[in-house]
Amino acid sequence: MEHASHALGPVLVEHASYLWLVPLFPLLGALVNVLFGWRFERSGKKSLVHVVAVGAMALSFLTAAYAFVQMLHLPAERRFLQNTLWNLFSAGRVTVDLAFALDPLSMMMVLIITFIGTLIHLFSVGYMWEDEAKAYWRFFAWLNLFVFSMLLLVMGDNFVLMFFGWEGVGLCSYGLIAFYYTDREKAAAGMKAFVVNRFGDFGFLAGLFLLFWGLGGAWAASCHTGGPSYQATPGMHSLAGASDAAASLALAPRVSLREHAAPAKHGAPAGHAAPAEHAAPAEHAAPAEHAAPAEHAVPAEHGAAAEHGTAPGHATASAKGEHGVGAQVMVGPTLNFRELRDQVVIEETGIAEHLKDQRVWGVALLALVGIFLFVGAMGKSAQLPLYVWLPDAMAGPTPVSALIHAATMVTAGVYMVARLNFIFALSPSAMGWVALIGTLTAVFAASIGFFQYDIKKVLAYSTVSQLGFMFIGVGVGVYWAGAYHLLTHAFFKACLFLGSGSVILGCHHEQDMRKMGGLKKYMPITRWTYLIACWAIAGFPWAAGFYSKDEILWKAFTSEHLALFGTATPWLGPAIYIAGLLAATGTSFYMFRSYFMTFTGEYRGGQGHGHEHGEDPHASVAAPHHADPHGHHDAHPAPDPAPAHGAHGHDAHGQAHGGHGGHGHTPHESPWTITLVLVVLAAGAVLCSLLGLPAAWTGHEPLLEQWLSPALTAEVPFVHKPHALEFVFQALGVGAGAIGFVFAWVLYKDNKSKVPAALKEKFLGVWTVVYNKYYVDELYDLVVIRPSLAWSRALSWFDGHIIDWLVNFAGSVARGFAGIDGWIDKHFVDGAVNAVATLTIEGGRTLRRVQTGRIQTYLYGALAGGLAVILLNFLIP
Amino acid sequence: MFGPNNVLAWATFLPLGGAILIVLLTALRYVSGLSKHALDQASRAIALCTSGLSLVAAIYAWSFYDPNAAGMVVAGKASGVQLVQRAVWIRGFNVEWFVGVDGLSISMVLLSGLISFVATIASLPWWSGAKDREMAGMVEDDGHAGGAHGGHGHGEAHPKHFSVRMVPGYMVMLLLLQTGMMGTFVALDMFLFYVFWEVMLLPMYFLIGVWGGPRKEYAAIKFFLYTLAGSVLMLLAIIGVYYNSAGASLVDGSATEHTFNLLELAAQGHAGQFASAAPILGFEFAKIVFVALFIGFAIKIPMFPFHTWLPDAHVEAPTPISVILAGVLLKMGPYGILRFNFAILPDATRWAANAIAIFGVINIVYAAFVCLAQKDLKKLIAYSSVSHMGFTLLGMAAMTPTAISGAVLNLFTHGIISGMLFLIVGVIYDRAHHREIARFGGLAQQLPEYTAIMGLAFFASMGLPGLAGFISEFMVFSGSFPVYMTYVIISATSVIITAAYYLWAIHRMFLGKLNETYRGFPDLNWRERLTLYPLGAIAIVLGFYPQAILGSINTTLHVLVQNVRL
Repeated sequence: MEHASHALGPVLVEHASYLWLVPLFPLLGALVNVLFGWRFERSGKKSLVHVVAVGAMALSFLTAAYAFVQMLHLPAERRFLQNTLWNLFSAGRVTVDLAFALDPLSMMMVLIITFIGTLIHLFSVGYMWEDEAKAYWRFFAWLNLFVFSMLLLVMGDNFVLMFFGWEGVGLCSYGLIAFYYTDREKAAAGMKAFVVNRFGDFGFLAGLFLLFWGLGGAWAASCHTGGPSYQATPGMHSLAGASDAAASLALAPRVSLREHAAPAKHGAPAGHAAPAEHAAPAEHAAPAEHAAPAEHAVPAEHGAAAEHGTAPGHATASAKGEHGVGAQVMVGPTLNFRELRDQVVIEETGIAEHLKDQRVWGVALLALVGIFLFVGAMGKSAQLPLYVWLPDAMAGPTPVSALIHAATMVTAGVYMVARLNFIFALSPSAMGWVALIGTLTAVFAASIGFFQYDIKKVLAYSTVSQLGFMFIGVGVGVYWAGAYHLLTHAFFKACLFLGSGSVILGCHHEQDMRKMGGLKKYMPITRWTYLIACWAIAGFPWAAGFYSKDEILWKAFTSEHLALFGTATPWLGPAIYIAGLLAATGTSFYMFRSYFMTFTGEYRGGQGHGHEHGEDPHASVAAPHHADPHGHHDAHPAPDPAPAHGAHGHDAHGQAHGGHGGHGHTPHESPWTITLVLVVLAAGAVLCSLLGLPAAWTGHEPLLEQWLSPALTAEVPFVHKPHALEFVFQALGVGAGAIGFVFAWVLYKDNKSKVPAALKEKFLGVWTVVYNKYYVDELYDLVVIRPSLAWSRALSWFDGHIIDWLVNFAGSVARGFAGIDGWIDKHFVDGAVNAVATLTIEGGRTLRRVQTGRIQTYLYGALAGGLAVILLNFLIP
Repeated sequence: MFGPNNVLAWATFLPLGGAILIVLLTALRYVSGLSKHALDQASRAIALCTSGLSLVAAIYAWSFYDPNAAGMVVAGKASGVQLVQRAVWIRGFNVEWFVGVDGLSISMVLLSGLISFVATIASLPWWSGAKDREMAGMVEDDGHAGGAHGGHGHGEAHPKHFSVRMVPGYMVMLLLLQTGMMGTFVALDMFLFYVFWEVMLLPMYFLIGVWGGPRKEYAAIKFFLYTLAGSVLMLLAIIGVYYNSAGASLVDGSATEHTFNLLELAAQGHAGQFASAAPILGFEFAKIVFVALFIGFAIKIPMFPFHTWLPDAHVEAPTPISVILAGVLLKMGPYGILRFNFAILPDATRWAANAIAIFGVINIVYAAFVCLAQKDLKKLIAYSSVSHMGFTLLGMAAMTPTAISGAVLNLFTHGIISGMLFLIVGVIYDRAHHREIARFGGLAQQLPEYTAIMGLAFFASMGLPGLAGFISEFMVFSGSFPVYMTYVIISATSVIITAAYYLWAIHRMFLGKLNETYRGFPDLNWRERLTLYPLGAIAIVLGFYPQAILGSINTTLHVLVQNVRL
């Protein structure tokens, strides 16, 4: 009953030529603000900035809503909208189009992104208007660009476009975390986010290449030797190839449905058509890759090509001619999600089996693919051990935290796993690791959340923890519930973050919960929405979080498919369940702790001195006992007591962060742009529960599960347990939330209890370790950063002192030789020349004396010469 | 004016014509009493015009080039070579004037024309206010008649800006260099290729050695000797290949015993002419020649361990010369390897492929780490060039269609991006007179426009999707993966290191509180905008439409690797 047993055929494509407008609007918005925003701002037309930005978002949302309506009118199996713009690049086997696609899963994502995105843009108008950075346009330009990238990520029809978005959101996240770049620490947080994410990107790329390679690449076998030997892949033939007539028959009914679906962009839809009477056309041999994207359709082995004697050049023509005759599923390496899905999901292709059989470096290929891709998800979605950037990312403005670091970007990893559900489902080991890491992250991050005082940090760790829950969902194979939790989390976490933003604004840029309290009196709307969102995240059945979390944990308990290291691990499911329940209890505790600390009791913004929690968090590493006399070391130092009142009725926070020193200002409710958004999000956090009412209650599959089923086709087996047990588990889930709530109530209601302080004193060691986030950042510094820098310095030294020294040494040797050569030249070669000259001169000078002019002398000379000749004549025989 | 038959000659010799014109004008100055200022301006104008026209010719050539055309027929096969112009040059030696382009060279011709023109613009003096001029240490010595290179009239704190020193000489050298570069890429006669190759060397030597930084003599000599050492090996190899080649015929039909014709040689090489040549000192002829040629070209790339001339040359060279050096000259290494080693010596190429790939990996990872430790921004950029050229080596070695296309696309994209990077270094050097990363800070506040364009270039260089660098990197990786799985995984770690060193440099230079020393620095001026914006635009366009270049290079390259692999 997991998935309605729909026949798994090829995806049926519906063309929707307007899809590109969805990401276009935010892109245009960003462009306008980049080019003209600062002019708007300088010329007093500052509101134009947000008109453009929010307008772009609204248009994007409306377009997405139109697509949604169109999709609703289509039968479930045809819900795949596609829009190809142009060919990005094609070389060899790799063909990548700039193309967008929407299936129910990405439709859901697009609606979340554009809807919540629009709300958060609206919120930002109130929040950023008086911002100290004086860069309203820059903020909105980044925010719009972010939405554009995020839309690329979810709408991209292929891996490359997804990666465009994947990196694009990273870039925008960098720009927005480091928004207050004049503060070096905040700028460093941006850098950290980007670099840590790059670790993930490395995994993403490696996984992608492995998958691509696993799908085929027999063409490389004919390559020169060297590198790992490559095994030609069996079964890489066209579905309707002569080798398997039965398969082609089985698929025949789908043919007619797909007639119109050929990607007409490149002219020849050649690759789709393979004739039953003809074996695989060997177009791959053609160097003429410009002809058609066909070549990756059928990576026939060389043998096949030779056998049929097809001249490479003819491939296109013949393929064209055959269009519309044969079956439609392309097999072989591809970067396109739909083509990938089709060949893996349709059993007759044999691709799934082929993938399962392959091994790399002694490990199952698919496990490796799954784990590498999950490393990518770890980066984006802040899972152990790559979560470290997310808490620091709170350096950005609060709307950024809500949009990027709660509702959208951080869920990209979950989305990616869900999108590739058919790949992950093939490898129990990959699934096991995803679920396991998700669980560990959920528990680990929740525990850090216990003791944080910065309200945004609490929310950040809670986000990490909730993302862990989502990965439990997609890890154990209940993809729809993972996606559902993503949806509900988007609402309640955005609501929490924006609520915290409203609080921070109301308290004059104070983020320390110890200096809040009693705000329910001043900020009723913020308080109620925050409370509703807390219910949702804690898992009370009158809000949506309960349903998604419950479904995930229930399915984790009943899962029987997980494995680690290739061996089945039946204990993993129940273990995940228990740990998940623990994390849920903790979540409930620290969320209500934040609620009580912030909204109940007396307002403490005006207190100047340390109270029961009044330890400077920064000092606590070295000296945890030391109570900071000022209680707000980390707060803004400017003691300006007179904040001006801004246009929107809240304080202008230019440089005026005054008033913490002794006389506080009364907090105030935020302007309507902010409260309206909060109300809508809180409503969403409640109403979303309608999408996921469990089947045990209603008797039919949850609405969202029905909606997503065309996109989430992977069939993962679960143990069938009676409904009664499910009810028990639901009760347990509510109980967990209640326990957390009660603890928070007892300890933090009205901030009166002395117990938290006493407990802290008692377990100071534990507290210190947890408060300092288990010193993971320090560990990274020690294990990764320092060694890398040392290594880079060593290499640089090597470069300058060894390699370059060798070059200079060669030069010196040459010069040395030249010197010796010069000396020889001067003293021997030139010496000889000079000697000749000297000899000549000296000889001449000597001989000159012979030249006496007297005839006798000459005669003696002649006589002597004659004698000498005669003598020599005798001496030499 | 530009037709398919002569456009390459125009592109090659227009700069030379400009150089001659400047020389004549300079001579005229002593006759006519032309003022120094007028002469300077005239030489700038001439250089700008001729190199601009050369770029136009290159664009024409690109538009004439049809990737699907059969092209010239060599040894009975269509070679795809077009825009051919041939004439007998030295009959006794069977040397021809023989130029033409195929998919490999057309992208390089375009790149060379473009980068040359950008570099010429970048060689003009400051265009905006007096403050800029003063900061650049640029004082016009108009008033001082005859003071061609007198260092007076300004404080001795900074040497005079290169753009106002001995302008005619500089422009002549720059134009000569452009002729050499263009000629190298279009020459299809081995002898002609070598002549152009050497023609490049001398102007480069003077441009670094005369107009360079403090250690210019050392850098210039190092560059010159290093490259010359490579050239000697190359020359020997060329002579060896020539005397082992089979007969062919010149353009006028006269038969010859041996040939310098590169296309003919490629056909012969493909047929095994050199694989069966007599061994030298017991070593296989093809392998020896391969290694000699390869080292000659590897120095140019530059490939580890022959790379150390590059940082020195870059650090000392004036900005436009760095741009040309990184943007075009480095590309001649891989170009030569593909044109000579791959085409003529396919067997030896297969033999060496694994080693080339390993060197590629070393280049990528090693240089990336070295970047991380650099304190001088220009040196950092120089090493990043070394790292990025490694991608080309890896992609060439893999010899799959995707990888080889990626490798050559990488030449083009790296040319564009590294050009930008060096211009960016020049901008800050002109103002601050140093390039020490740690001494900057918070520049984003003072120079927002500069920061934005710097961000574009840095992110393009670190391979951010949507910008040109990503596509080539991705193609090289995905194309090489089936052949060199482990190498690709090792190389892919460079995506992390690259991000780290660029972001760290941004962090130290641009973010944080503004270092008060740099308050009041002017942002980009129009000369800088004119050089940076077009390159930035190309980087973005190629990021979303790389097929613009790939479309013209794919066919040739895929035939090439197929010939090698068979």
